[in-house]
Amino acid sequence: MDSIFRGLIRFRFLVIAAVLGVTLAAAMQLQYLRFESDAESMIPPNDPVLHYNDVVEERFGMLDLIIVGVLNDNPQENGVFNPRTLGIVKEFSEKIALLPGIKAVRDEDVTSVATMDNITGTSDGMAVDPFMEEPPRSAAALAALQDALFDNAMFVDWVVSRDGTGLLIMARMESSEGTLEGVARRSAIYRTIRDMIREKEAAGVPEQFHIAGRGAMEVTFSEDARGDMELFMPLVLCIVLGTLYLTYRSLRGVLLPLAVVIISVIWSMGLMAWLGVPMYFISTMMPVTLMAIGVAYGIHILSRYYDEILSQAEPDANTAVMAAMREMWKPVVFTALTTAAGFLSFLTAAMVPIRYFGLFTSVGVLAEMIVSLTLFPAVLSLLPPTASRSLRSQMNRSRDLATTGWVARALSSLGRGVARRPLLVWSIAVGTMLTCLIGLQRLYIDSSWIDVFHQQSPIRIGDEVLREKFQGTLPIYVAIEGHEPDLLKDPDLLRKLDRLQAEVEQDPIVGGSLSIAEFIKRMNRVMNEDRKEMEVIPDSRDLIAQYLLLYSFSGDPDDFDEVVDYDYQHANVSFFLRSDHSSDIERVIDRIQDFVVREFGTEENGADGQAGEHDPLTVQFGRWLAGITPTVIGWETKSGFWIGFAGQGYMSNRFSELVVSGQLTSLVTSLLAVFLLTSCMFRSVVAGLINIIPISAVMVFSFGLMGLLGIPLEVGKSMTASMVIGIGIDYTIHFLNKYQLKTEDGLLDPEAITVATMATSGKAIFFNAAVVIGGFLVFLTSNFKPNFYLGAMMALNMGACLLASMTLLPAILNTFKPRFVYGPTPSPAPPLRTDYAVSTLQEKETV
Amino acid sequence: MKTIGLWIGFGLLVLSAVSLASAQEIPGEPSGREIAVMVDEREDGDDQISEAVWTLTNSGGKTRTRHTLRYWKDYEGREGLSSKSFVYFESPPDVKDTTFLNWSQEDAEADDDQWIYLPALRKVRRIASGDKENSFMGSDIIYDDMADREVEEDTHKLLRVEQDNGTKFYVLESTPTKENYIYSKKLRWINAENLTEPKIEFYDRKDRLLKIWTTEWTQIEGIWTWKRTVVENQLTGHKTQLDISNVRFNQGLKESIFTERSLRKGAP
Repeated sequence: MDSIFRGLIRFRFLVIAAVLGVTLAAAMQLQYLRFESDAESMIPPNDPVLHYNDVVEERFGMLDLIIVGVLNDNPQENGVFNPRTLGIVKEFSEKIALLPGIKAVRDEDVTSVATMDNITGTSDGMAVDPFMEEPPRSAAALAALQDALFDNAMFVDWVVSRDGTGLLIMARMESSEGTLEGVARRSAIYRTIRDMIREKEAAGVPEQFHIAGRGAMEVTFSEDARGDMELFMPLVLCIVLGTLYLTYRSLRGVLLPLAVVIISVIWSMGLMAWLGVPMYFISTMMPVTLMAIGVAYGIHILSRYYDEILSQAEPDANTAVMAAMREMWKPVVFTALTTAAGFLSFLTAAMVPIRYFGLFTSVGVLAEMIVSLTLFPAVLSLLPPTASRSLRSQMNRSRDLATTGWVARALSSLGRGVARRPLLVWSIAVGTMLTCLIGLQRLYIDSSWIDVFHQQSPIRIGDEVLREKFQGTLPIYVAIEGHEPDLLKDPDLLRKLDRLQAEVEQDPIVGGSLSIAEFIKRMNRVMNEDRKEMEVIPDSRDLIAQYLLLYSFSGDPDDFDEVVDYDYQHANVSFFLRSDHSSDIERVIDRIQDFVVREFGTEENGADGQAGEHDPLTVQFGRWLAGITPTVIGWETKSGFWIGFAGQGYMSNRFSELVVSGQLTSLVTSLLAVFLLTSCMFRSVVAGLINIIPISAVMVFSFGLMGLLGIPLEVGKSMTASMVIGIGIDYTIHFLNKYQLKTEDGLLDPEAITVATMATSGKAIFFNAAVVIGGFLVFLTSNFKPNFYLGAMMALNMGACLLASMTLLPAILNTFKPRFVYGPTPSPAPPLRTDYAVSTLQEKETV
Repeated sequence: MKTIGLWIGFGLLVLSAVSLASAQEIPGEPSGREIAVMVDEREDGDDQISEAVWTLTNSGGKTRTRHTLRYWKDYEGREGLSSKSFVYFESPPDVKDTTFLNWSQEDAEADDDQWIYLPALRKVRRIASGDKENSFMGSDIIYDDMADREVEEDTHKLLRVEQDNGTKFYVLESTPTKENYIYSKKLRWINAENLTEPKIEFYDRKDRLLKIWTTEWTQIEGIWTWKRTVVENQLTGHKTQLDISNVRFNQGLKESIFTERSLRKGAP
């Protein structure tokens, strides 16, 4: 190894030129990097649940909605029933219909009180009239409009809120079809509507406005994500620079690690661009994550380099560099490999963006390793071997590394404490573990799309308000698939659909539902002199067919698209949910599926809709570990219908199933990888085991704590596990490496070894963790809940890793005195040596 | 009414010819307005009986087929009506014997009077519809397309003259004078010889091509009439094909056919 580093130093200019050359080439590729913001790309394109959802959405012409709520709760103005509020709704409806990318051919294609027709029963027939053409002015006309709306149950909670203080405008957005133009068009719709609202607000109208719907969420999502990155990069940079300066008080101590990180980020992102892999939302975390990780290698090399300079009277640049590299190459290589393995374990995920994030972050980590191991010796050998005056004067006074700097002093005392009171360490560790194991039992999974936005985010507020006031914004579809046309005209089937709706609507979070049964019931009432008791499914199949014909006279050929397909073979029942928490969604799905089993039965030998069987093994394994029931697409019933489930609500359940089970597998994989790698490094299986004990304890701690605090596990949090393992194992590796070196140097007393390790590697680990924690704390400023949780979890877990590797790890080593550290033969009681500082100096002199 | 309209139209025509030489868009050809008036005045008979097969196809390629028998009588403004029509459904079986009666108002703004008889309900019901944008019989044709549109409701511009297989076509652009009408404009291809319209393009409010309406014409008893007409919605992919057969003109249809009473009796 020496010869390699000697070579690097000899050809240092070549090395620097090579690194810079590769960086330049990678930087040139960056311009080709493209962004992928479609939320759907998170679910693998061949996923059966996604595929079935696409089938249903296409069959019934379902498109993403953008929803605008216009609220007025002033009783003096009769709520929304005043000319001004109605005028705004009319104006907005007309303007939105004209926006490019809004699917609106006729007025009614944008749904609102200003566009919809009201079908009412009269004494001699039926009337089809717009609710309003112009906003009514007289009190009588306004009251008549109000009565007309509330008389039709289908419109209440849908275009008008039950309390009469809100009106909705709903428009369907054309699919982005995954193209950048499509995405931009959808963003433009959202922004134009937002501008329309701002204009009204600037004009001082008293109405409140809210925008919701998946379209609006998508746009806010990508805007917020970009905002985060613009804020995070400089903040993380400041924290890294600040910590580095406080550590070394020198320019090289700041700039070198920084250069390593920036070069590596350019390398891995350049490679992404070159391979044509797009940046997904999750990949935007990559630069920040690499920054937090990559400075560690520099810190450890520099730390050893400065220790060397400080302990020598006449330090020589090449000697100091060689000493640092000789001792540090192995831990740097192995910590990089374990971190890379942690991220590579993301390859077990079902989601393509998560896989790429894992892959290219691990590429970045390896790049950081290579650049650290080459650039550091090359550049450091060029610089004069000096340390900052304050560090040097402290060292001169005490001649002891363990008292040089407050961090070293504090860590040395901690080391002494841990070595002298192993029982205390053990009891705290075991106590915490037992408590957290109880917490682990209570951990539950729950994720929510809307909760990813900050509480104060307009999209979240809008969604909450509109969900409360109206029927809910999250759809679940129940598709009834007949095996031949016209089956849907069967009165018995329609009654079953009607009962299904009534039963599921019992659930408090189900705000409303829609099916062909409702239209038939409504028409039956209308055609029977508008008598309320006639709002039932008629007995005659022909009459149902004739009602459907009649509807086609008074609407549009596509009117029933969302509830029944063109030849009445397939029907769709939509349920609208007021909550998007997966626990709520699951309860509603259970309710629906219970009804289907009870009323339609299951055909054992029928076509099977188990999505889980074709999942990757990694997902199946994780699901088994977590005890998650796989998502079912649907099943063949005994009534001659195949019944399937889809909709955004169903998709989000599938999403959380895939992520959580995938991440569980990746946790197990990364633990295994780390175990194998550390076993190799220390050439001992026991060493591998000892390495993963502290990190496993941190895992139990972090997820147990969540269980104890009642914080649900969701997508973002589940992703931190493998990252913590990959990054956190570094501390144990560095610690163990130094501990081993100290025994090789002749130290035999556990306390002396512990204190000496703490004063040197411990210090480096501490600064390393400080940078990582500081970097992830930046995420707490995020508007985005996943980023916030990621930051909080990472910061907390890295802190726990730091603590575990400095307390639990030495306790294990001191207690069990494993052979790979202490040598094959148990040594006789070692003489008590407290002059570890002298031994440290002796060690330096032998170099 | 129609004769008065003709005189007014003639008067306006003379006026515009005198005052605005520029109304003639293409030298040597009649102006757009003149062509529109000629088309409006094309002979269409006093009454008509026809059979039709409606084939409605959605964007997914699924179809609905209906057979109807239609009776139509021109009222030329009598009783304030422009025409009355009676439609009888022969198939599909589950809607057989359903009948539909429409009294089309002479005043384009007024709502038509409509009645339907549903045999399974055994009741005649009156339909009052105030929305002209609604579909006609579930097809891509809306009520407004079927209404007699006055020449004055649009400004007409002769865009160009096209020749196809020795036949001369006027291409007319008709733009509504009223703001926010369903269509921003129509492009009409008009056979210069017989004034039939083989093709009309409808543009929506966003000025996108919304519908293409193509018609094959045939001459029966000296009157030009539809043989097959196809309307394709360019935005939804929905398509309507109407095949007309057994057309008979001027049968002296009795007024009693076009009453509520006859709805129950089925086809006369």
